[in-house]
Amino acid sequence: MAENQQTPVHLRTASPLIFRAVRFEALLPRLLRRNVLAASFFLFILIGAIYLVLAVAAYTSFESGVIQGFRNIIGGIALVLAGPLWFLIVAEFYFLTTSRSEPLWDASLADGEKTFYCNYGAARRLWRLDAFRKDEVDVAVLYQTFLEDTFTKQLFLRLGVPWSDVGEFLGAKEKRLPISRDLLFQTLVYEAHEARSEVVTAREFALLLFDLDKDFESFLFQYEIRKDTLLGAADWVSTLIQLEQSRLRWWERALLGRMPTFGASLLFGYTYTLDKFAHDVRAGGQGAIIPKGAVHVAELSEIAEILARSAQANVLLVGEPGSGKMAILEQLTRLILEGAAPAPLWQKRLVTMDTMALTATTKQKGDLEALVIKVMNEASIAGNIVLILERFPEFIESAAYLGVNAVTLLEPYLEGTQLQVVALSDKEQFHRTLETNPTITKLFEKVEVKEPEGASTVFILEESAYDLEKRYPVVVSYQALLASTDLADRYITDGAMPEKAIDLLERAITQAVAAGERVVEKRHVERAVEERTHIPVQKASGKEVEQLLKMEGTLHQRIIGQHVAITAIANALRRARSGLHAGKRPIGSFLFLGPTGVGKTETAKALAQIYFGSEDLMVRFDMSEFQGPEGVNKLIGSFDTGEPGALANALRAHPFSLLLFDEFEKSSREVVNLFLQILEEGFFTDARGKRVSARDTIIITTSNAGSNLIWDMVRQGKDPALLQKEVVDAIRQEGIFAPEVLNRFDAVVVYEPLDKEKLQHVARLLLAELAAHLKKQDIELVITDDLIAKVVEIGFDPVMGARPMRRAITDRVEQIIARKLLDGSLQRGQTFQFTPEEVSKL
Amino acid sequence: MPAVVFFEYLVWQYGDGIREYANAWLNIHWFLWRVFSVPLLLRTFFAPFRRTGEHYKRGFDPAAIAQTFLINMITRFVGMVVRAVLVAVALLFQTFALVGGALLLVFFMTAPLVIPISVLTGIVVMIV
Repeated sequence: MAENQQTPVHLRTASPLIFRAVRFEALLPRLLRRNVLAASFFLFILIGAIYLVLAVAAYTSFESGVIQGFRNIIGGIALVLAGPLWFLIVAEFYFLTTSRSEPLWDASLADGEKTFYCNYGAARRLWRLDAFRKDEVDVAVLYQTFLEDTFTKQLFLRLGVPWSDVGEFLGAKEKRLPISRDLLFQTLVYEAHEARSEVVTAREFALLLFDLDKDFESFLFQYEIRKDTLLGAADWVSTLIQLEQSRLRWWERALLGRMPTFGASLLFGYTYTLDKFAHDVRAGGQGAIIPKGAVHVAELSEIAEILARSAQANVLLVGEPGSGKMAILEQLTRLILEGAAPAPLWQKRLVTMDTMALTATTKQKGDLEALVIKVMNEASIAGNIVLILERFPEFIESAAYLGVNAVTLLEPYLEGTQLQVVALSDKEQFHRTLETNPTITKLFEKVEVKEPEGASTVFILEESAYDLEKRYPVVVSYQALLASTDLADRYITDGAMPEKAIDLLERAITQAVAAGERVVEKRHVERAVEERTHIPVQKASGKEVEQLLKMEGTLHQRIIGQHVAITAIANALRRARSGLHAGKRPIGSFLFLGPTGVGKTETAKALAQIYFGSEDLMVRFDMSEFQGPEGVNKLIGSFDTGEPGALANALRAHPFSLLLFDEFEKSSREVVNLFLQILEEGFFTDARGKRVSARDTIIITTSNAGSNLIWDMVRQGKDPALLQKEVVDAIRQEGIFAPEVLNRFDAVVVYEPLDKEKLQHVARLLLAELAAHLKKQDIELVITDDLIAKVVEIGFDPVMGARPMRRAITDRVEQIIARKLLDGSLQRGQTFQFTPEEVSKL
Repeated sequence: MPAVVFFEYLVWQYGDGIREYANAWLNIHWFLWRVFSVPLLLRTFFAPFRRTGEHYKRGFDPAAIAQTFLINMITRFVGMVVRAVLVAVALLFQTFALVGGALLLVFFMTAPLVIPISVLTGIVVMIV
């Protein structure tokens, strides 16, 4: 509040004219007025119709005294009704003209003198507070307006707060919240200025209560509503209400000017052939909710400026699919309709042509050439066409297949002044096909469409939600909009903003509709993301929480020993699922060091099974295959050959997976640099210039580096805790891995060699695996200590770890069982146990 | 408060109210003028209909020149007729707006009298 007090605010008048509407509303509420007006109107029409029938009857032979008397009564009723009806019409006109925003405060701000307006919602609240007659006001009075106020009802609905809870909160409110009138005005102006608005609305009063009343703040805190969320939701609701109110003043030029004109079409030519392959761009509705200058404003004005030129007024609009290229052209159409576009564009028709349909309908070079010339001639002669060529690079390529040079064919039209062309392209195709063509770069002016930022995307979603709510029986909460923006940006790797956020919101809406729920909340969006990407984004709950808390135990069921490694992994996963995970980086990244056969790969497999639900979601890369300068190309794809990269493909197919990179020390310098980016930023750019996200992966790299040192230290009987530090220091000093690489991993974990005791546990696990296989054939295998001891004895190799043991089981144990199965001495339903003789002969 | 509201209303009725009414009335005329594109139709009154017409061919061929001239005259005539119809329709709407607006203005200005008179007359008609 201290900052607000420093903002001097000058009140323009002590009796604002907008209060006339407020007082009138208090005397004759709008709802009552409109209901009575509608009822009187229909009654008046009905009575009028009856009167007309009777008047006609007066000229017929059926006229009688009864009918005449009845006609007089009806006429009298019509006159009696006409009076109040006219009164209500004039009263509505009075209310609508006096309830316009009024300039009320002048404030000296850092960016100069500014005038702030008071809208009707704010005026109602000021009147309720009696702020113009008292030096001190009790803002707690505002709570009394909550229950009957449209703004408040909509606000809590948009914030996803149950109305019953609001009622309970209001019921418990008793204390007063007195503040001086000057402070009230200063705070309102300050909040409006902070919201980048010059109009004080009901929004500022909601923020005022949030600032002044800790109880209100705590109440909202229960629903995870912070001040910025409240501001965003209040701004949205306030805009929607103002939009509805402004539409009631239908006689104002701003609204009448949006109606299309029709006389001008006589001036321009017909386009019969073009119309078969094209349609007019509809006027976008954007602008009603999105604040001016918030989205694509630079692109829109640049396009309008180029098209308004007298010659070579062609635009090449380049942007990712879904970044809003067509939306910009729809806005331009709206500006043209409203007469707000530059004068040379008035009466212009933006027509979008399906270029693929053009090539699809022709089979031969001559046919396509004739068709293109015909269409372009028509468009040119019509005189008012701005032709939009969708998928322009693809059109050039498909025309080339038929032997047609589309650019040469279009060149005379593009050079002329009769026709303007807007060609659309995505970035990849632009670089591949268009950028290298000098004719195109000469004839077109490139305009790049940038993806809107987070705040702009939320505005776009506010407008989309407004349209979607007309199609689905739901109300979208503000948190759902925020979640759609954040989660689409974070988890949806295909497409561009804002389309992917809009798509996500629509998926969330259909989910809510399917579940029979009326309010679309954040959880619906999270579920939509999970369904689309299979990445868990909702808060961990129930069984998953239990699994996370017991992760070490679960992993130890498959991994013997290696406590340090298991703890590091479990900690990383708990951190990720509790929301503490640093947003950009992968879920977890580990470097496992140690000799072969100690459980490094097995740990990765177990983790894929436990965390991702299947070992199939572990993608393994043998880094010895990615050596040399071409190693990076194999991973991210090659620009020259167009071959996709193995890592890029794996991540696109399974963005939520475990990536295992074996023998990491064999990676080339270029590959290591790629890893530095992935581990730090969580993404890389593939050969086609597309971002590939690795943020929802666990990255495990393994290396045998330092194995000899580990063995030496184990033989010397050193403490495993010291082992960790000394091995990492040693490989750092030896320069096997650069310090910046080691520092990027969440943990560098040293795997200890397995001693005989641990190998016995491993043997038991491996034999249990075999027993599980036999169980499927209804054969019970009894695992005895003798059998375990024998397997360890055969398979023990201090250098190779547990690996020879698996071979021993396959070569010896499984062989005996296989023979018995074949000769019929072991059959389904039997229990099999190796005899001491059999064990000794193994 | 009812007295304050009534007084405020009366002040508005013969002050801001008239200005608001006049603005709304003018806006409707502006809208009708714009929606029929009357200035544009007048500016291009003799232009060919829908840009139909023919270009004169090269060389001196009196028959061809006469034919092209005739065709262009016809398309210009058709264009003029269609435009004239549209302008006439626009003027008709303007007249409706003018007469209707003036009538409503009278009712608007006399509303404090018209409303009670209408109710009283209605009652009288019913009784008599």
